[in-house]
Amino acid sequence: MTVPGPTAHPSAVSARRLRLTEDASTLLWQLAAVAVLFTVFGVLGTNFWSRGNWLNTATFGSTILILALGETLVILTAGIDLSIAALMGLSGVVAGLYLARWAPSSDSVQVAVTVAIGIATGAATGFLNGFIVTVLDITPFIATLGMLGAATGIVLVLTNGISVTVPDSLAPIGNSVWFGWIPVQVAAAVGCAIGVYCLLHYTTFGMYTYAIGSDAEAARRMGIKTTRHLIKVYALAGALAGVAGVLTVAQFTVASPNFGGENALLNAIAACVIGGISLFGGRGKVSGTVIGTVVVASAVTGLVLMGVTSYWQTVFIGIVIVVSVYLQRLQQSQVWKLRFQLARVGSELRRARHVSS
Amino acid sequence: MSPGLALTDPVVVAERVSKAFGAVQALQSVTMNLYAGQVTALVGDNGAGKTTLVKVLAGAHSCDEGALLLHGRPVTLRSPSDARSLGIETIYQDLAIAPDLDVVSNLYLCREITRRLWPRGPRVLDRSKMADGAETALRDLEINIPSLKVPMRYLSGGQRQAVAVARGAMWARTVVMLDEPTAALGVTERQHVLDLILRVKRRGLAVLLVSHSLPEVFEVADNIVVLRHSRKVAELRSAATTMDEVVGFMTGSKQ
Repeated sequence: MTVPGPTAHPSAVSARRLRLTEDASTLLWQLAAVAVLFTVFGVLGTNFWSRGNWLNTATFGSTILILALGETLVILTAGIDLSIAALMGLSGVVAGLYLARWAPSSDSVQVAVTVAIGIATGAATGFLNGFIVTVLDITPFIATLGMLGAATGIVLVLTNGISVTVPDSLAPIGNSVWFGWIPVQVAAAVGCAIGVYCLLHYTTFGMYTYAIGSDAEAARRMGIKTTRHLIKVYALAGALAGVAGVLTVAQFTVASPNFGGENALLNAIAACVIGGISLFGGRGKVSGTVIGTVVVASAVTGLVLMGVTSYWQTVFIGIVIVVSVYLQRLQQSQVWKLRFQLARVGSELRRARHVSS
Repeated sequence: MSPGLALTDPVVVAERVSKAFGAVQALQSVTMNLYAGQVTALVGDNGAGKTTLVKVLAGAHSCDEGALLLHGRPVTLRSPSDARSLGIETIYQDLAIAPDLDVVSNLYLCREITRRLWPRGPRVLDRSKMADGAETALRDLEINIPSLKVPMRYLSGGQRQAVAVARGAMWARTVVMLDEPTAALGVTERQHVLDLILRVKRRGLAVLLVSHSLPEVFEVADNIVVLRHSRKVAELRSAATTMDEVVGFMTGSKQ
């Protein structure tokens, strides 16, 4: 029985259908982008559809995905974390140095400790990010920019700018390929993606993350402990960067001061943005981040296969970031913002008339 | 108690409440009673102290002097969550909902129903239970929202405000306070929210309505409290007064 109720509003009747359309069109655009890229690279690049390129792309993409998942959480709260790549480098180097220099042995127990130290380093520095953003009330952009500088510097201090070789016992964590097709990084990244997905969709943690990104002040007034929650989010992003750091050091069995380069940050943010995670917070899905990562990773390796010099990669990714934000704005805001603005102006006018009468 | 007011005991009493912000005296010895099943309107010019009084009752501000009594017992509100745990709900004009969450989540935010995945396992949101509860709550208040699973940003302003009010009514056990709930709404939507306030009142809750619009106040309020320059200048029964008299108290032409 659907009697037009007291608060029925003509525009809202089709709200559900509209959301479905918007979600579907976003997904369609993303899949179309993937299809176009795959076709272009498949035709123009040699060996794009080869096992070798798959392993390459998947390993490379997994690191991006793990970083991008942390970045997704932060961006959903309407923040940004510019330090994740630097934290990945720092965590990896701290873990690598531990096993190379400070661990009593390099047996499997110490390997486990190494992994734990790497993740803990990321989590601790991420926690510090959260503390600076909330308690000290520094905007995320500046707080994490400061952390980027600090973490990059500490890596150089620790390594003296020279790569340190790490015992081979760490290698299985970064070099194994299961069943000939699944690099260990892919398994780790898929695990992280499923974990973040569950966290966002099935727990109060996810609900609070979206609520804070929607409207932090409203969330606070509704009873969410926003400070505590944001610290958790930044710490989790840091922990994920730690996972990526350990995987990278294990893959190359070297703790290099160059792992935390800006390319990794650029790629992770590109994956989020292409995946439709709104930089204004509150909107976006893990599935988007995954598709965004597929686009970025296959674009980077695909360009190499097409014979484009690697210097052009960042140019391409940079352009893609700006273009996809622009397209998002076209898609979302133009129609809706305009409508809401008109509605608001109308009600303001009515209100003014009402008050003055 | 002022003559002419209902002879039932008030559920909430703000007694001789004073509050200063630095050198600015926001409230001076204001006494106000709220009654179960009655709407009390709080009116006054800008800066008269309405919002400060609401925030004191909501636990967002502490009062410098005076006392709050709930069911006759003195209570101390140190934070908004203290007020909430005593059954006092506040609906702020613009900051009442999270637009990217759906209706169900907004109604249950911070009061989520969770279940364990397995005994002693991790807790996950029980969305179907929350959806059922939300549907019942909205039906009881005769609020019609086409779908409870779309983000709130797709709803009209009136529907969003209706959900905010429903959230208050759903969790309040004693008082619902609304700070200018109709300010941003169109004419029809305003009427729907006013009707909704009356339905909340009929549930036996005490309602405090802050409003700038006197026609609206006279439409729904049983009692009217007038603040002027941080003092209470009148406490009136709306059936026994006129708009001119209230305006007189608000502007100071009547003492």
